[in-house]
Amino acid sequence: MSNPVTNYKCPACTGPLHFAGQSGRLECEYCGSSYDVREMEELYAKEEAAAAAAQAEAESQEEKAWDVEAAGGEWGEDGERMRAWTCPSCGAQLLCEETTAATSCPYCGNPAVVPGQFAGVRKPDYILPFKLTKENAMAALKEHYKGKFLLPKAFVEENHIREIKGVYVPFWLFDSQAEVDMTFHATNSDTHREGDYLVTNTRHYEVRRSGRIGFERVPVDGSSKMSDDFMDSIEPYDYKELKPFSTAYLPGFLADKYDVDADAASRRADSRCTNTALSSVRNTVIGYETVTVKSQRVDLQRGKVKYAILPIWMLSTQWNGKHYLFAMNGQTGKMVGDLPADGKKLWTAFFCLAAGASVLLSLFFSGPLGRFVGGLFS
Amino acid sequence: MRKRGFILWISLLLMLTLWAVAGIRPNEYVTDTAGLLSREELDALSEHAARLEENYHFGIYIITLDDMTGYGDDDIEDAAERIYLDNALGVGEDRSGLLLLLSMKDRSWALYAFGYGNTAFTDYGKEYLSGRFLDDFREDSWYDGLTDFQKTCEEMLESAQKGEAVDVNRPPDPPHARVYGILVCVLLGVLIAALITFLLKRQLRSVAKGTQAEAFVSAGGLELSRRQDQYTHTTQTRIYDPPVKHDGDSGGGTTTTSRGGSSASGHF
Repeated sequence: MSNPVTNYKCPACTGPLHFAGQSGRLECEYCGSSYDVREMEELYAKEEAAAAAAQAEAESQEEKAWDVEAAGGEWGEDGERMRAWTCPSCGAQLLCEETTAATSCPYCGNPAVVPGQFAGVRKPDYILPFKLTKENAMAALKEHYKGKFLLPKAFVEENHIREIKGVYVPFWLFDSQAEVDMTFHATNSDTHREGDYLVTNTRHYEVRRSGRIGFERVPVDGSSKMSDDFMDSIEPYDYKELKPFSTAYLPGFLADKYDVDADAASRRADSRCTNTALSSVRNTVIGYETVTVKSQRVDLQRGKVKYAILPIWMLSTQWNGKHYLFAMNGQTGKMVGDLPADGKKLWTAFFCLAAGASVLLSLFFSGPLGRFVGGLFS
Repeated sequence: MRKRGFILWISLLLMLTLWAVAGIRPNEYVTDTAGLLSREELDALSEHAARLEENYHFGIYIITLDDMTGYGDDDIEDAAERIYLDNALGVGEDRSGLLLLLSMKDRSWALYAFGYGNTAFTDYGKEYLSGRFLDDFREDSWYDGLTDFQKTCEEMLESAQKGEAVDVNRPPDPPHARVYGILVCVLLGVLIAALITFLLKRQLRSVAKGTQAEAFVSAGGLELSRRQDQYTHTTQTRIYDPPVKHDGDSGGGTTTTSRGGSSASGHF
């Protein structure tokens, strides 16, 4: 059975409403009206209840005209990962993954929220609304290509964005405190001459540092579909702009619900906090020529965990049969994505640089260098 | 008058006899009385010496003797000096030149420089020069050793002409210095190119897993509750490393004899 779908329509012209990050309001692209998020939430709470009741009544009156028992098979395990929904705009029956919470209809392009998809999982505490648009993402990608000498020219000219989508990705935000205790062995030395001997005096120190360092909202993505390295690379976000979660921010974008729970995600947060706690303490040991860690202890006091969905533009392109993926922070505009290297350019650059550097070095240093190396062998 | 003419005649006769015994003829570049060289080798060495005189206005002489006795009281340096001066060797007014004298009986050698030779062939220079031919002489490779001698003389005259005579503070380039220098420069060039292309390639990578959480440290940052730096002990290491003599300390230049020449000698 299809799930009820929230489709925010313009009360003035019934056109679909989109959340516009720049204005922070729901806007109708047909008549230009805009509405406050809270206002629409209240209006739709009532309408959703009425629509659900009407759909239930209609289904109960359906008659079986055909024997459809033999048509199709059981979904089996696949079915558990899929959800069906009906587009409220054109009536299309659609399937989506169980983790998709907001999407758009491929037939009419109508943006929609699938409320049933949030059932059984925690409701996000926060949402960070999209601030940047699809156009911003396209412009950022072009900027991303600039200044990269080894990027094939053909890649820039021939590749076309196959897909661009704004996705709200689920993140767990971890608060923690780390108590750190470290012991180091440090040395300073000086060398002087005594006759035919070079004498080095090395002073040894035992250095101890203890301290506390706090971490706030360390993000770890809760979506197994999203690669961790991409999500880490577009950090950080400005959390001052976090809003209490509302589905009214979702229309126009895709939204995933988490499928990696907070416990599983916490291991990455712990590891990152521990590393930073240790390096912060290590950086306080200064004024020595050598420093080696003798012992270290980190006691992590785990604090609150919050669930937020954060905005990301995902762009994909194909070139020479290979797939290239880019991600942009939907709030700050930070763009990441690995690019191909032009092998011909790379080797040309290598040989030209090697030849140029060798000639220049030969002009300046061949005499003294030759004498030095020749002296070693003679 | 008749008496003076007689004395002059006798003196001339004595000198001619001496030259005839030693086989030494003035102003010949190569005099091989010990018979170490073939006719062709002797001609080749003579031609080279002639070219050197033409190019550098400097005489390079080679004399081989069976026995130096009778020339220098058993001192080969004295013998070399006497032969050089008595035979009026050298080029120009200052009689610039360098003589290599070999005495085969006691397998000894001497270098004697005069005039500009004292400038071009310093004490250190003579030591360096002897190092280039003695290895051949020890193996009785006379022609090879003498060829090396002439070639090295040419290199040293070239340096001296530039005001850079080989000396303690201006040692000559070791053999193949240029080749070594170019090889090292090429190697460094390849390393530099590899580093730059690596950096250029790294520009294309912007995705990496996060291992730190610096961006999420609370406003107060790290609060240290203990900061203790305690000195524990001192250790001492002693490395035997005798000081290298500086160029100025070793006293370069040329030590001249009372007759204005300079010499060096040894055995092979």
